Amino acid sequence: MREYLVESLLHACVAAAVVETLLRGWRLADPRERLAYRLLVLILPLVLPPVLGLLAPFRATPAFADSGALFASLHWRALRIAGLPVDALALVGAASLGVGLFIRDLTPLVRGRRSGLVPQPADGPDDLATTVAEIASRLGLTRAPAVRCVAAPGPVLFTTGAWRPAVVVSTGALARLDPEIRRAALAHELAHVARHDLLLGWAVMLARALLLFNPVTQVVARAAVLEMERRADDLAARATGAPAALAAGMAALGPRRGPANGGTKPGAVGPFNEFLADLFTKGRTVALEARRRRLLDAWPPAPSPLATARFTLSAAAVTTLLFFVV
Amino acid sequence: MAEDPRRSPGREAVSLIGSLVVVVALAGGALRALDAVPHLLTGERKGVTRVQSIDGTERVLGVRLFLPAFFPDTLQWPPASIRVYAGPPASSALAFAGRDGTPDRLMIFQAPGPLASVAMTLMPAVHTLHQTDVEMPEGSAVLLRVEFPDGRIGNDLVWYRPNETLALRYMGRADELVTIARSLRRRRP
Repeated sequence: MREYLVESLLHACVAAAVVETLLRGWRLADPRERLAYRLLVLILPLVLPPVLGLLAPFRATPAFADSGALFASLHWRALRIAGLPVDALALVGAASLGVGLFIRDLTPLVRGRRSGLVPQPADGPDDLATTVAEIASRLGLTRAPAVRCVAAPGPVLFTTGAWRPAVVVSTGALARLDPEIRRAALAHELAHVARHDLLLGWAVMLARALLLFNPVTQVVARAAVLEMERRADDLAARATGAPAALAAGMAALGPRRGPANGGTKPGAVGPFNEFLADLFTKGRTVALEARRRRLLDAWPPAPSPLATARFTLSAAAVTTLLFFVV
Repeated sequence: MAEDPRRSPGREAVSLIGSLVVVVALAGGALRALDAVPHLLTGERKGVTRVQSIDGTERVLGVRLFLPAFFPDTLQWPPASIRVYAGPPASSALAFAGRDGTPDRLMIFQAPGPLASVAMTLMPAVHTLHQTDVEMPEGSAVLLRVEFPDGRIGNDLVWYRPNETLALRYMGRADELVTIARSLRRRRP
């Protein structure tokens, strides 16, 4: 078991390092391509160690570690710190970090579900359903998802339901957005539906849970989710033809920091929680600002030439490299 | 590796493959360098791995190890170090320290397989002073009085069994070494 965990951790580190270098070197800007690479980094450490264990059991022998492998954790097992093998210490350290990162992202979800707040249905503008149907049609959705309008002063706009998606929008959000910006923001949510991002998001969460001990997976999963957001941005901007309106929608609905902006930190009790809450908000704000700037300054992204061949070759190269990491 | 949209598909493909090869080669080189760090830190030769337990050694070699039933009070249990050489020839070295702190007071080398020989990387060469044949329950054995490079005198007993070779190196009396060797039993599951 320990060998499997260490190998999976190593595979994640190597795959993430190589893929990140390739993404930066090739300057890939299209989030569809970037997402594929991120998912590759998520899948390989999950699938490759057990599959290679079955198909190539000789990889587990010391002979392969000494003469065939590029890197063998077996060699590091000989080193000890305070009487404990280095690989076990690295595994414990990584697992602590991985669990911490997973809990950090899971806590807001659980807290949201347990908050007990039942949103009160509210009447939206008359043209809301029509707008959603029109954008859904532009995005190629055969059936427009349901729209639920809820009475809440805050800026709430999200998509829910992996199998029966529905767009939830608050009266506060509707009040803040003018029709063009509202249309762009709704298009972003519908783009998630069109690309089955909710299902994909749960699959990513499952991978995170299975590789709970792996901090690299936790970080890459966050990056994958960000690519999904960028992909939805692109799709929405194409469908509406108004990237600037979408950027304005992000500014209007995005997280706000500090009392001066009227922002609150739910559940921020005590200095540690306050620090964490601040960190979440800060991270979200920075990511959102980067997405806004991208829409305003670098949109549309140029697809890279030979994208499929590029990805296939990269996947093959990374898999081959990982074969020699035991 | 910056993309130039005006490049032809052929040049683009060459650039793509070239950059991929460079990145993978760099990653491979970095992994190789990291892999060599434990050998540099421990001073072990390439191919020699330290294993933490006798169970772990048996898993690595795929055979049950021989351990002495007669274990003098002058030796410390468990082994102070266990090293494995993946081979070929695959072999292991169990080193027992003396109770007085003497390192490597007894070393048991085992090489599984017919016509096996203990890897020289595990059993460094010594100068033989005297050699005699010894009666053993199975196979043939040679008892050697040896001189180590640091001038110390000890005894080696090399025992060729039908399917493995066992070698014992002892910093103590020859008769005690023979008794230890005759008491060697394969560990049971």
